[in-house]
Amino acid sequence: MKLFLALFLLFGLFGCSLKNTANSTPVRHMIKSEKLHILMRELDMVIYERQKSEIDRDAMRKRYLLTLSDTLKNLSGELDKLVDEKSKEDQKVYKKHALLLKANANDLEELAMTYQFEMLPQRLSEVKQSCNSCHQHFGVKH
Amino acid sequence: MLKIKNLALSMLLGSSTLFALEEIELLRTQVEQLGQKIETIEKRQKTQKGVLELISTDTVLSIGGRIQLNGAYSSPNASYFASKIAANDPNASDKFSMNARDSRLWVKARTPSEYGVIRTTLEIDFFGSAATNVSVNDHNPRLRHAYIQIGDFGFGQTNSAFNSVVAVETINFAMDDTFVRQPVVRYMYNSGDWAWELSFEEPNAMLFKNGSANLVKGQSDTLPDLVLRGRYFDSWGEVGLAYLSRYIRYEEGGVSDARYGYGLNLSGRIKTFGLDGIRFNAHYGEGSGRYIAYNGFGAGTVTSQGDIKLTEIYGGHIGYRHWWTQKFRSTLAFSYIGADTFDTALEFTRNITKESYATQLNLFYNPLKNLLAGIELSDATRKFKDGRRGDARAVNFMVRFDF
Repeated sequence: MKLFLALFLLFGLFGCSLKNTANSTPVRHMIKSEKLHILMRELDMVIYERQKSEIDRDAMRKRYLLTLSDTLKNLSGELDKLVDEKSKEDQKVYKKHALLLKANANDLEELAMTYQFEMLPQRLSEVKQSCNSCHQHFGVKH
Repeated sequence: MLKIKNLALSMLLGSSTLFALEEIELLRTQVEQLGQKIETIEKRQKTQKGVLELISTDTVLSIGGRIQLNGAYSSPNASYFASKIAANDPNASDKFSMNARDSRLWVKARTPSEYGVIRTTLEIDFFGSAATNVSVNDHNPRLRHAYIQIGDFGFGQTNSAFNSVVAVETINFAMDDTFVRQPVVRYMYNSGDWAWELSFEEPNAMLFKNGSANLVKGQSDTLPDLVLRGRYFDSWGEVGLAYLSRYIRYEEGGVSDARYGYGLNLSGRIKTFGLDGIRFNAHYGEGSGRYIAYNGFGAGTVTSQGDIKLTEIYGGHIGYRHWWTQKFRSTLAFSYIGADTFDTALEFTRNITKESYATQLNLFYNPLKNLLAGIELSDATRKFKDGRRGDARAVNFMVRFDF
């Protein structure tokens, strides 16, 4: 029992915090991006949820996807706010990516509401493409 | 595809002298439209891989499942459930065993309708009657889910609404697992971060009574069990509170009695760092019986006068899941279940459980997206109402692929 208790404490020490209290737009963007990563990973893990029927799992997927869609819409809003700080050329690119993200978010929302989860890998890959294309353009390293 | 399109266009453009400009333009448009159609079909085939679409009825049918191998080294040879661990015996031996009975196959369908999406699921595993022929291990299939959901209503056999909203990720079960699968009629209502369920479920009161060393299924149920559940979802996780109400009735040889039993189950998960999180469950009830610990405790005891004395049950579990890397994760879990069975039950059998508790620690490895391997150490204790004690340790392993 003592061994288990010691291991339990060890677990706590290995955790790494994702929290960031800064309020600037780029930091909020970073935090939301991290939230996106976690949500996508959690979606992958739904398959391993014990004691769930396929209908329960689909309900979980729907919840995660609607949260994912909301997060993407917020991210799109953050991009809009970043526009003012950029040159005219960059502003165009930012606006384009903000629109693309919003379209991705709407696609995910529609997919969740109609339970078309067979389309999920394709839709998520489109979201990743949108993020990567913007990050590549502005030289953001992962 | 692009090459064929270009070739077709070149051929058409090359013979442009034979056609009027409008005809060429029309043909060009038709070729482009054809190309777009082919691209759409190709994209559709790519994105809906593994899905069988029944075009005639707008129904999308999916088939899936998993192949799973479970293995265990138990010391002593024990069934790892709260009320099945045997009393300590110096002559007991250890045992190693393996099976693939937890492999599953499911079919689910989705059909749009004016009442919303109609969703159905049918699922089996191989925990039906166990094989007696050790040469071929021919285990029988067993129905798990046969359930249809139309809009906010659900019918059929599936998980009880009283179950925990999440379960700890362990190979062996937690001692107090709150889990039942049975026929239900259910109404669900979702509103933003909240979800509500009203569920009428199969009653099946299990009672201790004279003449049997085991729990006996009541034959006099007249009302379904009622479950009300509320769930709340937030960025930190989710929590669910379920209330169970049962009308437990006994009638035999002109003697009858009835009692209202109830149970409360609080469960949830709280995110901590990154993907790490805590999962928990707490339960209290009188007469909640088979809803807890896989029918390890009865709803009550029937006395020699024919009165029902409900059993008080309390317990809970907590588990912490930590991700070591993207592919390795572990859960450390502790579970406890206790019950106050009426003393008369000891006159029928000695094997009445007073309490059981267990600690589990595991390591899971995901080398591929749908491939999972795991190993787990478990240490459990069962205390009997008559003072005896049983201890069990096990090393479990599993390999599973979901398709």
